[in-house]
Amino acid sequence: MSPDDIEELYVGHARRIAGYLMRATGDAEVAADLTAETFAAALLARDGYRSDMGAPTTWLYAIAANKLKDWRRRGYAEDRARRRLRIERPALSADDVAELARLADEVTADALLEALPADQRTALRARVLDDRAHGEIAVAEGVSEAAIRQRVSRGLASLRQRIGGDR
Amino acid sequence: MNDRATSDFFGALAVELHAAARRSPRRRTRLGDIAGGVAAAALLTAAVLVALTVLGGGDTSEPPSAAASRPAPVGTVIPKGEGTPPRQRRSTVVATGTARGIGPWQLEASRSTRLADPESGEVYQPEGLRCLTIYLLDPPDDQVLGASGQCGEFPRTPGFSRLQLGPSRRRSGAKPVLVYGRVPRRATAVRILVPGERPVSARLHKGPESSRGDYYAVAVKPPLPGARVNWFGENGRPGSRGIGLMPPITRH
Repeated sequence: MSPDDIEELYVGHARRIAGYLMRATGDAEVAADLTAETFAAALLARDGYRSDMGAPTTWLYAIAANKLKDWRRRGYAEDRARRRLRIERPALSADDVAELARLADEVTADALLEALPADQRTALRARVLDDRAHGEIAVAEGVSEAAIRQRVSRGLASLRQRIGGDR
Repeated sequence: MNDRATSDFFGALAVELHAAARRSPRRRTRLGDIAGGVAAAALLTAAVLVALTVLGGGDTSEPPSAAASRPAPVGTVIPKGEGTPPRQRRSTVVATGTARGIGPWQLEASRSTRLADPESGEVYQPEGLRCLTIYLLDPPDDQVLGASGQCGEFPRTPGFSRLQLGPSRRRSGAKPVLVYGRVPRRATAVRILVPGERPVSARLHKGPESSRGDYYAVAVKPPLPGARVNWFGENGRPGSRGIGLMPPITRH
């Protein structure tokens, strides 16, 4: 991944990532920690990105989702990448907290879909957002209808988990 | 697209990333480039405003050259890869000026480039969004933030935008913040309105003929709680619903 790609990811997704993490954690301080850790990790892992992992946004959201999963498991936000880079997580002002809360409310379906693997994202977008029939999507994707149903189901389950932590 | 400026957290985090990339080079990658990239990421937002320094972009932290401290004439076209720091896209100088406590600045317009996943073709930034970027040509010593910008429209105030460029959160205090943006050609004034205070007028800058509108800029000192900026037409009436300013200007 080139520096320009990292640049564009930060430009286009820092706030959406923060909103996603705020929505998932409900805690501005944790969301800020995880946002900082996500981008620090992306900076460190930049050379490891391969296009067969999916779109760069998917890769970035996958990092964020992993940081979120770690937080749920450990009970605290990991700061390994930040420590390695000696990044100080900026303190939050009252305005920042309010902004993160607002961002959490503005997490859109598109933003959440970014976190999914490409096949699930395509299926969910077609089925849920475009209201297309499973069979029609299957024809377009060149797979069975059952496969599309499975992708939609898995995608929805993944979104439920990422939004609220419950299945 | 939306019309919200970044909070301090995002700008400060970008500065942290920038500094981290500069002090810990790794492998053979030019980390200055990454730093510049991460820093520049905070400059050119598709949906939000971000701000941080790009003046140290590349492998060097040298200040801008003396030649670079003089604004170019309005209408000057800067090819991609030229200028200090090197422009990422072809850009046109649309306004210049000098603000007290901030120094000379140069406002440039450009168009966003299309960014898409090479495998799936999925577009995550469309081509052709209007971008506005401001460069401080001789920033004060304590002024960390050297540039700022935004791509996209402010849908609730067509033709009118609000951007801010000011010091980093740790150095904010009462230091001036530059408020600037696009304004429709028919505007006769742009004012910052603060509850209970006298309005602050911004200077209008006529854009080049190729520009779809004009521009404005004004330096203000925080705090101005509840401040909004709006443009006014010949009849003296507000031209839009106005746009709220963001911290550190509005911080109490």
